Amino acid sequence: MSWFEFNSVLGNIGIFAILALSLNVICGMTGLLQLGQAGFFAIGAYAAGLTSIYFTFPELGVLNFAISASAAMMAAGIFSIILGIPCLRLKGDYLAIVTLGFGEITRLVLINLMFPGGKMHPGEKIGGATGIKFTEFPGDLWPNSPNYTAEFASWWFIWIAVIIICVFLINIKKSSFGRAMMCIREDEIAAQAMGINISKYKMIAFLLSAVVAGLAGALFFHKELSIAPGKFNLICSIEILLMIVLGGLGSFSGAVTGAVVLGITPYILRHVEICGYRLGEYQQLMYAVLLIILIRLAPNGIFGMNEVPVWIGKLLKMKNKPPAKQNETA
Amino acid sequence: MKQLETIQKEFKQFFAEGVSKSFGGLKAVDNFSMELNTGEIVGLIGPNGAGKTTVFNLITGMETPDSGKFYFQRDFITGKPPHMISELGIARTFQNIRLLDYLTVIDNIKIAYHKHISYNFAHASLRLPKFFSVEKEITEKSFGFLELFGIEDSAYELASSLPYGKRRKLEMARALATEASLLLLDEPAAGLNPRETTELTELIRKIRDDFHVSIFLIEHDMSLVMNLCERVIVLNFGEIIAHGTPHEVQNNPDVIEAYLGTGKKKNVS
Repeated sequence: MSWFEFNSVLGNIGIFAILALSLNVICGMTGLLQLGQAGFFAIGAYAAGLTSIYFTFPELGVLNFAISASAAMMAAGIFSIILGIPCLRLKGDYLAIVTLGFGEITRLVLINLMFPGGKMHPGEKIGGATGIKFTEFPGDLWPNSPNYTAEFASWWFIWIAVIIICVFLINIKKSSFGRAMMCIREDEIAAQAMGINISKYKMIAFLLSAVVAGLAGALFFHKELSIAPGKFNLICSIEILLMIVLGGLGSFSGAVTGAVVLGITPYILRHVEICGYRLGEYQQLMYAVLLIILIRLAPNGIFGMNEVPVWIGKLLKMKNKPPAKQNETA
Repeated sequence: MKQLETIQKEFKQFFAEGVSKSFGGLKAVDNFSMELNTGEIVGLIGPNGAGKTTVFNLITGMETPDSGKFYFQRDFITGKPPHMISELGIARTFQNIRLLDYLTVIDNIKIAYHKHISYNFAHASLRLPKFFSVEKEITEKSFGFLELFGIEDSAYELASSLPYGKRRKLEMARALATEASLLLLDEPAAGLNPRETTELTELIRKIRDDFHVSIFLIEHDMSLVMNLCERVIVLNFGEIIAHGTPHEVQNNPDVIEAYLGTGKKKNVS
């Protein structure tokens, strides 16, 4: 595997790790099955892409990324509110169907939607099935910075984002807000009886999830610089769901682990040869078998619901001592 | 106690006025009226299917009544969503225990403090000092409740791993931790043996005295009801058939009929 390929793979895994983290907020923590995460991913990517195409100021440098990323997060957030207000009253499978529909509708709308080309593509229409592209014309658009590209999201940039988002979400999980969301997952009636406004917290979780997915979309655009609607299909949503199921629903470090495992398996299989058979040719088959084995061995996912899996503690024979007990004796 | 009496004279803490609820053709609760003074323990008894749990569901807002009104501390609470009623200070337990099985015991109690939390999203996500001070306070208070119920040893176990008796206690601790002033207990002694029931009776009385809460409980265990309750309401087919002290109710012919039948065949005309 060449470095260039490896670089791109790492970046892709990082973006899927962010998507898995975002889906974990709504599926793992709040317990609502969401099958349209690719929709918010697409909205984020397109919002970031269009913002970069229309409003890029090379003088600002990396701040351009901040602008397009906030546009992406805002767009995904707005769509999540529009979708969430009517749909979060639905329960279980019905919500899954609505969000599945949302993901597909987003993709189909993007296939059919044409945008004006702006200064970058003068006199053309962009969008449609071929998607949008950031192409720079050095010396033509920006005479002062001919080498400007919008490619900010290198693999380390993406992984720093993964770590920050992961810590941010774990902090929320371990606060009262996270407890409220987990309470809704466990028992809605008990949650109401405890004074938790369940529609409000479902909405917050949905919004948070969409905003993080939008950020993943922005990173995706600034990595690829060329996006097409075909990428954001149902398989993408299902793959994200698989990652969090594999890592353990409700565990954010598990979501990242799931993304890494599922992301790297195809590339490893591609380079493994047994008795002259290249396993890469049977990639989908191997994928399925591996998943079945993993789910069989660890039905709650690799990490279960905890941030640090129980089996690591057993392995190290460490008794995790309750930290708050000291407070209590003092 | 004298203070308590003056408070009682000032206002009734809770009262219901002609509440009715029917599910299709079935009248689950019919013209239910009651009142509750601060610091009182009132029992609600009746045969199976009499509508006792429906009364609790109506009070806590999980069902909306077809007609009638509930007042709690001079607030009109009919038709309010359950979380708002909980915020006003009515907490309940459930007949089939509703704990958060995959959270630890201490987190189950901390849930009850959610409505009192004073930090916001930024404090929580960035772990600002305010977050730690508030969390520490909550943890200490929660341990206090666990100790009161004698389950502090299993504070960091999953709630699903607790034995039945402790699960009942944990649910009561959680309801009490909401800092409610009216506790609705739905069959607190179900599944407990006689010794545990006696313990529970003492515990409920202690809670009432220490926290100055009123307690309204549904119970089938007559020893607990007769020992504990100051007044008893008997419900049958959604209607109140008797109301009074445990002794009065015990000797009421209507109640005996509801529980045991009349002893002779009814004439079918």
